Amino acid sequence: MNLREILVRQFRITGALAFLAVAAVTLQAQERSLPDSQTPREVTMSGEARMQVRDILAEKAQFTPAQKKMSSRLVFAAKAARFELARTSFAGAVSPVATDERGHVVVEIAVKGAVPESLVRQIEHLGGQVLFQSDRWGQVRASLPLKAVEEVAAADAVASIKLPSRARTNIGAVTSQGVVSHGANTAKASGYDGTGVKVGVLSDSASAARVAVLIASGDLPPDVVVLPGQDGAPGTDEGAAMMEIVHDLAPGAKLYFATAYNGVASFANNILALQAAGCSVIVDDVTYFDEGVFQDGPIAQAVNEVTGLGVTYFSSAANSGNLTDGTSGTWEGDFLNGGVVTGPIGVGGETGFFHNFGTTASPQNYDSLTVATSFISLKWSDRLGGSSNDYDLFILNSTGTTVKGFSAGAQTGAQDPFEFVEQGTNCGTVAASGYCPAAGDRIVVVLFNGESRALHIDTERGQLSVQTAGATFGHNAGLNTVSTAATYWNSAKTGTKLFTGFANRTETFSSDGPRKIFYDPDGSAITPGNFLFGTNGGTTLQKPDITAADGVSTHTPGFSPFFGTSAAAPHAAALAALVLQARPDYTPAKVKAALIGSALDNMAVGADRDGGFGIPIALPSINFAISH
Amino acid sequence: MKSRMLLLFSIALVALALASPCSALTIDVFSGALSLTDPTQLGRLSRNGIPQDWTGTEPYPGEINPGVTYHYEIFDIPAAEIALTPYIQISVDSVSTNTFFSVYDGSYDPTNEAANWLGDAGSSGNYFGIDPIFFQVTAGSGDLLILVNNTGALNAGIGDPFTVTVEGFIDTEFDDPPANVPEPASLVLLGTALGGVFAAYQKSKLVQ
Repeated sequence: MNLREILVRQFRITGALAFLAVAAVTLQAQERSLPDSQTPREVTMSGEARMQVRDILAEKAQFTPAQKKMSSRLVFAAKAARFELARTSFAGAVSPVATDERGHVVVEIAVKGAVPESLVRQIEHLGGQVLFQSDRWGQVRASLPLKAVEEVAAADAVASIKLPSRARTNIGAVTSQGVVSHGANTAKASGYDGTGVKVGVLSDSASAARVAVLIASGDLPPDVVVLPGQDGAPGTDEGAAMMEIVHDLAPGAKLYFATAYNGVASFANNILALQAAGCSVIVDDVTYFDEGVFQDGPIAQAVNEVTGLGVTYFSSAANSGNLTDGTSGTWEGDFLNGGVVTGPIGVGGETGFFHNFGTTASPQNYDSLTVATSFISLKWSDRLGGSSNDYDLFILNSTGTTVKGFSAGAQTGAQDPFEFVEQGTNCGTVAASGYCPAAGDRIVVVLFNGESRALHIDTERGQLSVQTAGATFGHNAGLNTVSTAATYWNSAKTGTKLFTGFANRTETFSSDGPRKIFYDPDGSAITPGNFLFGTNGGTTLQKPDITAADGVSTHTPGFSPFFGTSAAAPHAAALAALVLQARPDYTPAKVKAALIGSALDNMAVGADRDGGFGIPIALPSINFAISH
Repeated sequence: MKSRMLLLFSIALVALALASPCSALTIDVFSGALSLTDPTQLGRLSRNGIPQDWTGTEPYPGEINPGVTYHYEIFDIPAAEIALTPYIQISVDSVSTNTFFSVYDGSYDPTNEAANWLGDAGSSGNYFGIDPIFFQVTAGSGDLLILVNNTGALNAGIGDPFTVTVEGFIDTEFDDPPANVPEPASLVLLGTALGGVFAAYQKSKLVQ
């Protein structure tokens, strides 16, 4: 299996994507939609499933200190590679990790402080190779023999080791309809085209070949700058399509590009690099699956830094659905004790508690996938790199008779508060291995050891039977990010017209907010000792901030039409460029205020969890800036 | 072949000399559904998933199912109505996955579907079940013929409603004709009560 194919998986919203019709629910952010039946549902498992879970936790109980630093999937994959799991009951549920022809696996290593030279030498001595390192973010990306991962994990300098972060992007001759929808054509006729403003774009890629074609066709300006070595090729050229949109609305702006697809640390570095290149507006459309939900990680921290240096930063809100349209694949709320884990998942002498997705009166100790997904994450409100409350994630089949996948890493004070289950390999064939998703699969959360925390389950564009709001997370929903939801350019079904507001609802896939955070970027608790929704811990951010056009035409193959909040974010960034042309002295806060101050309400009066403050329009935004 | 005359003609007036219209020139908006009395053809265009755009790069998709009978209907936009706005954008609001839209220049021969083909929608049914699909063509010298055919066997697609919006622009940047261009001769719509001139204007609120 090609490593690059495994490292990054892209998902583009296309015209062929269809969502199941789910009845809309109009619950507030922390309410849940409960199944029709009021019969309490426990986690029922067959004897085989019980044995599997017991055996998994028995293995976990034997983790060495080094293994406790490794993600669940790495630990069990390494054990499987050493044939230690061959006779276990759960061997079939262990997802293999991708290795190259030498048997090497790419890992991301978090270190305490700067990267020590001794670690680099150790990796090389073991036959590995350092691919990227950052003293700033305390990260090393390395290729290692799978059998050597545990030895590296044992090093004192190493805080944790995991598989590479997965990411995805949220979508001249051809012009975006957003030029009309947002009134940018009128602004251009009035002399505002973004001249004098530099706009940086981050996405998967903008290959030299595609950029050259777009320059030749007039869909990009001739002076586009791709940061050296950062075009991200080979990829989908989604970054090129985003730059097209910016150029359509702000043809006078100078464009820069850098890839966001070489890992979290590289992404953060490139944000800083674009600011250093002079960009006063930066936009991205990427989500890394292992970004923190309740605390800013490195990417959001980079956003915070460049914002402090005068950059107005935009990002896609993501395309993971929302509660209003019944398309949510998110569950967020406080751990609710669903009873002691006994018999089914218990191990002699071990303690643990099921999470109850229902209520005390009507418990349901699992959530069901109504739309299958290849990636399920569980995160909780511990500090990044300092989790000491140990939660585990299990995926059972629809009848609870088999454990199909699991993530049972250890959190003993130095790990991230995350557990991930990813799709296995060869699903649908007799050679299937690991988790093979199916609608109806049950998600079970266990508090293995520790205290109640706020939980966040994300199914990355799957859908859940018990769902909540709060889909957008990470830097996409960061304090200093202008988080952008999406509305179809022709959502009013009146043709190429200026947006009017309430006729322009957000897309059914556009991720909703709000975004609760419990920690400052440095890990300080916002409300010390209070890490729950129910006790009003942390702070709640209004996210998304605004809504912009998607479903537009571009000249990049595969992106016409260009759907998703990936298409919306560059529209918003282009409008910011127009505002900055009018007011080059404007701070990021004032640019945001200009966009919001003149925005058209589209989902509810005032700010709401779906569309934010509404849809900004070019000339009113410029006029607001001129007059304030 | 059914012929439809022009229903509306929109003129955008500019209050300030520098401001350009931001409303599209709506050539026509019509709704309908195929019926069993519509003419038939053998075979239909393949849906290649690629909507045509003004670069004209969508390849002719070819035909499939040559032995299957499909019904079709044609909506005629006279050449005179699009002479000033040859860049045409067609939006189709329909949840049906059994109707398909294409555009021809001047004439249509059901026995030779490749002749005079300008482009098509590439797919059927609203994006995500809600968002109208759209495609773009550059008008030829003849009338603009918008053709809809059903795509399912056993008349699947017959009766499925659709609403089509036809917009025209003077260039690929969605610009309307300048305000001082004289109106084409007004035309009487046959069969409906709608008619007259539809005027739209915009005032800029820019602080000078």
